[in-house]
Amino acid sequence: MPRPLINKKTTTATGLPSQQVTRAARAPGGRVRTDRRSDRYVKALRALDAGGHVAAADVAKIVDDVHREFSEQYCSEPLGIIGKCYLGEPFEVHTLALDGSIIEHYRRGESLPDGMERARTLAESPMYLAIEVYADRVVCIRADGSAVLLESES
Amino acid sequence: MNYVQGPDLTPLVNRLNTVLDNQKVLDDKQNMLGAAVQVVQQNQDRTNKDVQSIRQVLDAFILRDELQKNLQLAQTQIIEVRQELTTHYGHFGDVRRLATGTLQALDAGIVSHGTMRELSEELMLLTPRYWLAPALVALAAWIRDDPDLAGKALNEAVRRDNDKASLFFALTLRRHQRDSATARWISQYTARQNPSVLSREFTVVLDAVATGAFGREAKPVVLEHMGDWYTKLCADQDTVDKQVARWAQMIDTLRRPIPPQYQILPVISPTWPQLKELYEGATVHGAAEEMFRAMFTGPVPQSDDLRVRVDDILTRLVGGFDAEEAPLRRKEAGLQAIVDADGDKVKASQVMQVEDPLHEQTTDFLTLLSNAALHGERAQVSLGTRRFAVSLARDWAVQGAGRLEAANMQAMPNVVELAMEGWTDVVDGSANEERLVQNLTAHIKRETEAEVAKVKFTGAPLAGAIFGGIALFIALIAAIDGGAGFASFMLIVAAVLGIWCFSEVRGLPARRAEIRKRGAQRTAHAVAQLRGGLAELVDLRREWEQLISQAASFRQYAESLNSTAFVANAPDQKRGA
Repeated sequence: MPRPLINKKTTTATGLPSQQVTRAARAPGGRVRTDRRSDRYVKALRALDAGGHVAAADVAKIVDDVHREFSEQYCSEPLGIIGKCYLGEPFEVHTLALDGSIIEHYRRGESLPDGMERARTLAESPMYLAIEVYADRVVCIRADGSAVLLESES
Repeated sequence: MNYVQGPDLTPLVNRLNTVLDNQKVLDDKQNMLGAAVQVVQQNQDRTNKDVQSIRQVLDAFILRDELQKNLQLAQTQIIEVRQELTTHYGHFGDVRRLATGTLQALDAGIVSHGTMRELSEELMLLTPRYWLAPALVALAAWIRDDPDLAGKALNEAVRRDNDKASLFFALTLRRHQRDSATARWISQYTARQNPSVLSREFTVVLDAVATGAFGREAKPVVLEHMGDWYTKLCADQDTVDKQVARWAQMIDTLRRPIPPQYQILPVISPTWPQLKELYEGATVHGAAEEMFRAMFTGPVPQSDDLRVRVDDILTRLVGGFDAEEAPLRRKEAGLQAIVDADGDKVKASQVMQVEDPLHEQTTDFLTLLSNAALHGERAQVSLGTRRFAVSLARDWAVQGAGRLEAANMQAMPNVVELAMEGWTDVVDGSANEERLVQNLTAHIKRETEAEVAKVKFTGAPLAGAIFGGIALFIALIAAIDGGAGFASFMLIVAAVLGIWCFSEVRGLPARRAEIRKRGAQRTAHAVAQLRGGLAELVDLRREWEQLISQAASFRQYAESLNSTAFVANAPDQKRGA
């Protein structure tokens, strides 16, 4: 068998591309989901802000639900998700960084990492449940799961 | 008894009185001079105002003159372009009229075959390279049952323009309810098309589907292809992005100006331009919903006669999509835009930029849908087709409006700055009207007190008092030494200075009271302005919330539009027909 000229894609038992493809698509230019998000995902986003008392097992479940939301559609996965924090002063927003799968709460004036700062104003708005931040895009998720893809920043 | 005869002070007193009188006269003259300077100042202000207003009038005149010249030039040029169109392509018009004329003559059966043949063949000779001429020769031959000539002419028409000829014959056949033949023409036409580079005449197919001009057999073929193209192109994010951006651009043009009731806030807040932008940006959602509702309300004016519907589409097919004419038509559209904008070239070029995809010779299927949905008549589609296209493009409209909504949210300033009477502060989440009023009042009070503090016994009066004191001291020394004349003189100097200083000291409280009075007036005015401005800010915020909430209503309405509901049935294939 000749050697493939390019790296072979990893495939799952079903023959469909595995999540690796999704992860690779996180670089600028991957397909970003613009359709309505599932109830499961919306529920996971709501759980992110459960008063700051999210148990480790629950965090794993939330992160898993988030990963599934994108991998099932073979779409780009966000670098992180920002939401309005209802813990009260001085906390303003919280983030879920999908690389480290950590929920962090940020105080007023504290800057957000990984280019998430650009979506802060939107996250603070009560109009959106959460903001997904991609390498070159921002997607606003409303409470009903509908999404708005903002223009490319490139 | 010996009286010591003192020096006679009368002349000195008289001189002193004269000096005092002269000083009074000098004061009066100084006051008069001050008043005259004030008058000059007022005159200068008035002159400045006059010059400014003349300048405004002049600027307006120059602008109007320029617009007028642009308009006249565009009107002249548009006539030239139309003449050029008539000269070069006017004979196309004869062929075009003959197309529907022949079909209608066939319906009525009142024109002889010979006339049809003669006329169609003559036009064939007169319009070289034009696809419609051989198509009409084929039609005339078909009518008089001459299959050989019909076949040859048909081949020639297809050779000249395969796509348009296919659509022409498909529609002609449909006019005579030869549905399976129509379906064959249509299926070979659609199979040839590349959804990324569709010719502009595909608008006709869209029109025929939406108005039900295609028969039972052809319609599903076209709808299936269109469905596949739609799915395929929607998977390409860049193509979809372009459509969303176009919709956002169009919806953003629906902005309404901020009501004139806001008059104080623009004066006292440096954040006003952002607030205005925020307000006007939020008005587009309600306007978009109104536009959509107006478009989707009421019946679609279309005939129940299949032939009339097909003839409308045929007229559009033969009339509006010839590539040869396109550059001149584009020029005509550009000039027409200048005429429509009353000579405003900038506005016209903006309109042309928005309509740019409308003049492209080939477009992708999604752009074609947006053209039909956004420009309606300008894209040569009927109201029914526009509704169909809008319902297919609704997701882009919703996304476009969503982008504008998010941009509006992002544009919201964190704090509203206030600046008046040299005082600055901000209105943020924790702002309180009474605190702001107190701050402003305290600021003006501080300034007033600082001004009052400056009014004290210093400068010339103080120097006068010191010199007066010194003069008195010298007078005493001189009197002791026996220099009576010099002592008297110094006494007079001390007296003059003393009187002057006394009058100055006596005027100080009045000046202080005057400054305090002005300070109180300033405070009252500024506090009224501040309270008015804050009330306007509250109103603005409330109205903005109301306006931005209409985004959800627009979204809900647009999402309820279902494309299949806007595909009309053919008049000959309605239920019960």
